[in-house]
Amino acid sequence: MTGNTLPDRDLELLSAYIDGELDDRDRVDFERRLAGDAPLRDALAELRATVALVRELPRLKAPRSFALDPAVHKRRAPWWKRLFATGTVLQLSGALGAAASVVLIVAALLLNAPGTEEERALPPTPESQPTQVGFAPEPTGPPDTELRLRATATQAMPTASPPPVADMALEEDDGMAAFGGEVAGDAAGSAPPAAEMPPPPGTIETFDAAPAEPLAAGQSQPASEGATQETAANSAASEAEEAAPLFQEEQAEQPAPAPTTIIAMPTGTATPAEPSLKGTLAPSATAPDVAPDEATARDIADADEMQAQDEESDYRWLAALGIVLLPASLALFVFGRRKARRA
Amino acid sequence: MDENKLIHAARHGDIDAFNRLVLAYQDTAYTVAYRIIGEPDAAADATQEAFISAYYKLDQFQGDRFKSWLLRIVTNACYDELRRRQRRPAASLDGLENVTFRPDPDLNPVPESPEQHAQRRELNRAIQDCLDALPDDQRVVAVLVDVEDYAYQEIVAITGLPLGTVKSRLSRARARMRDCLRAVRELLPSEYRLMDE
Repeated sequence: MTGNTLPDRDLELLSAYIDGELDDRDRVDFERRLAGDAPLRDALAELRATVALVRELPRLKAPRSFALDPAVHKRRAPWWKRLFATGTVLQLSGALGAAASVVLIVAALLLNAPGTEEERALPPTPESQPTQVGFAPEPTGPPDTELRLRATATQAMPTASPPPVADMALEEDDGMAAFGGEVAGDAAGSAPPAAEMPPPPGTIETFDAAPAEPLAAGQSQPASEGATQETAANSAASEAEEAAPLFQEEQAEQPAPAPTTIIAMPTGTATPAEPSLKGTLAPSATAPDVAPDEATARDIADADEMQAQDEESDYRWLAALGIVLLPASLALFVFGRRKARRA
Repeated sequence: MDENKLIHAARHGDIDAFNRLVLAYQDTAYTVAYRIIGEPDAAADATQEAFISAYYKLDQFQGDRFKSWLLRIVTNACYDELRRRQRRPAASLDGLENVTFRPDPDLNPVPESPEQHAQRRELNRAIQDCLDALPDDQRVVAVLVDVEDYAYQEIVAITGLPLGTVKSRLSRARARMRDCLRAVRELLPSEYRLMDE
């Protein structure tokens, strides 16, 4: 066998064996083959001579110096200096800043877009404002719930029918709905219908506001204080029952009292009683009486608007920041580009 | 100053430090380039281009084998030069059957007798011509292993080739070299005759 007829695998083995690149097991196997294969030994000897000849080639000396000329190849600045010198960092910063500015502006526009919240979609209607019950206590539930209740109460006002509001109370708070239902039923049952006893014009409601105010204070607390609230509400309801005849008597005795009436309508828990009270008292709410209610309703609406404006203004700074950042970033990018061109 | 400090200084813009590295490795780089390309001028050009490229790519150097990294750049410069030569061939590459011996560029004069010098010149010329007759990819591996005496793993690092490819290219290159030198054995000195003679 000559080297010309060796398969590629044997050629690789021979080559690796000459270079000492076979692992121990392959080397032992190959040496065993060599011992019994004379043509393979000849091929090995011939290849070794070839490699030895090539390795005889002398090491050459460079014909000249390949050192770089400092005049041609400028002194290399550190990479960070080169980045600034070529304007790369400035361009990159400008581009990133511009992109961030656009993101800020778009985000601010999206966040400030109207109609994203339910309460913004429920503005108080002009006709509902006078009929909204003026109650001062702080809202105990979520704003949208309160608004829904208010809207329902407004719709319920003309008919003075308690069931829809009682249903709403069931939806909102089961525990207090029971109370509300009782109060509504009691109040509706005890208080005479509005059509039956229209009060004279100019009559001022002196409906016992004093007991109602503690009730409002008590019911403005969280619903977890159910027992205390229920007691207070029951007492308020009984006061309301007692107030109806008293109210009739006062109407007869005091034709023109001062307009100092406060209609106490605690939010949430007392809402079921609202229609019944309204059913009783609304007919007497002539022009002098509506004014305080309107004012209170406007106050609430104004407060809501201010809150909404505050929420909107929370994101306006983002847009302002983006608007300020955008031209600065563009200027930085242009400056970096000019610098890169000069470099 | 040791090599790492020179590299560090060169990275920070000290071209004098880089030139000291150039002086330390220019013979090796030129030898590899000449053995791969086969022409002194083209080898010098490729070597110069390789050092310039290394200077501007010094930030990319990772690790502690500067010589291997530099030789990788040199071999790439040689490939570029060979591709240029293939597009615009200045001289034909002779096949195995038509090996001719060009005048020795006398790159490395060694003090020896005129007869010895002539004999060595002839031998070196024959070997170089056989190297030149190899395909480019086989010649690069053969030069790095048999001329520069690199281990296989270092060839893998320099060329980026898989180990199996390095082995197969090397074995084929050696087989071709064997056949080439056998064809011109009558021109070789007797002490360099091959075994099957």
